[in-house]
Amino acid sequence: MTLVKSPWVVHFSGTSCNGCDIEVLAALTPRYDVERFGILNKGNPRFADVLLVTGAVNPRTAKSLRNLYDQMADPKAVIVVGSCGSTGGVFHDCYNILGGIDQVLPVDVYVPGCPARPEAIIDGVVTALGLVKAKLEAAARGEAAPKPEAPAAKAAPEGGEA
Amino acid sequence: MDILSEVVLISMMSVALFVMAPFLGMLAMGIGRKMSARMQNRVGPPVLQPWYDVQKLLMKSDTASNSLLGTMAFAFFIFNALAVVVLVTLGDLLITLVLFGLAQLFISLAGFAGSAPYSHVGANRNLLQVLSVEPLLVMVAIGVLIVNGNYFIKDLAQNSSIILYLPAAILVMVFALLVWMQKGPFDLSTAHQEIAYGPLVELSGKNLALVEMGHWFETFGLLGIFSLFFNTIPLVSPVTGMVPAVVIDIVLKSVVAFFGLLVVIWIDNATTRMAWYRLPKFSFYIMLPIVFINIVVITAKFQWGWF
Repeated sequence: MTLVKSPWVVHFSGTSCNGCDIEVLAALTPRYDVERFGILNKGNPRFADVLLVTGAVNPRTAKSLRNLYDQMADPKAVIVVGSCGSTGGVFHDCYNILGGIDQVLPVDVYVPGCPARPEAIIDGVVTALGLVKAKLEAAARGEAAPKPEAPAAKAAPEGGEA
Repeated sequence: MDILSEVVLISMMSVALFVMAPFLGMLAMGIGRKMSARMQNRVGPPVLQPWYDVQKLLMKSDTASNSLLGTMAFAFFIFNALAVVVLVTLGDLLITLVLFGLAQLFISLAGFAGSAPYSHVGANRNLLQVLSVEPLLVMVAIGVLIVNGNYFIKDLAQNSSIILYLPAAILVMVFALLVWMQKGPFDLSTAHQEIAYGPLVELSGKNLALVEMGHWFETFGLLGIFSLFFNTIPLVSPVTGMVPAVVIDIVLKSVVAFFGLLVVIWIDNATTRMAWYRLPKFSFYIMLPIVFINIVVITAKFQWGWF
């Protein structure tokens, strides 16, 4: 399975405080060197296999996020990095925050932490690809794909800015 | 060795080289990524990483907004492969160089077929790159014509003194490798953090895999032409016979290609991206006069008989 050997990541920051973004960038440095697993940070959704999101979503970023996700070629996976992206974190009851990324997109892997450690982020990418592999194998056997939970009721308003 | 068996031997070698060409080009690109990583004190990806990347891209779905994108990606692949065919059959140097340039034009056309603004910016920059490199390569081919009397790679590969007469060819080939392998400071069109891969921005899946495989042929071809300027066959073959001389020559060419790649990766890591208008300036004000002086000197020797 070559997808696991060459995951290309596109990184999107919802409303992050940039703490997690700095940890994502740290994963590219010689200390963590994600390229040794074939992981590349591509600034282009059409090239990417994994959408890596940091920070919670508000109505504005939800639109961009949806757009990025739709431009990615199948098979694809979504990873959420950090507490805010997972649940809304300390911002969960702000008037402009929709909540975690799973309110907008089907999320495959949640990487917890405030901020998440680079090791955890790398582990998250590898786990997500394992899930994609399982999905593809299930599809090949003709079974229903093991879907992550569907976006809940508090979804982003379609195409609109609140 | 009679003429017939020599022809058979050469055609067998050509076929073998053509079959191995994409693999060798892929290996060169993987080694390049490894070199780059080691220069940055990283471990780096496996040498076969470009192979894994393409295998993955082949199983991805297509998201192209315009079917022309796929046609152009295929044309890029085919013209690079054709250029390598001309190279490994020891054909015409000029045609090889022009075919490599033509392949680049299809990348620009793919960029113009897309609708993203970055795609158009990148396509224009790619045309600028072709415009900056192709005249220099043609000048080198003219230099070969003056020294050898023809453009044939067969004769070029048997001229061991070509590097003494045409040292500017080395500079031009390193420059061409930097520009066409999209290495800094000349990675204008696919500047990944600036315009998100420029003309390739709308390609995905199989089309992107075709472009990657086109780059395998291109890398093999450009490194091959680079190493063509270092020949030992006429020096070694009277001592050892033809077949050992060819083997020694291939080993030498591999070493030369390796060091060419090392220089390219080193320049890539040691420099930052130039502003787009500096590329034609560098090409026309610095590289072109150097090649021109070189051509004038060899014309004085071979055509006018001054020394």
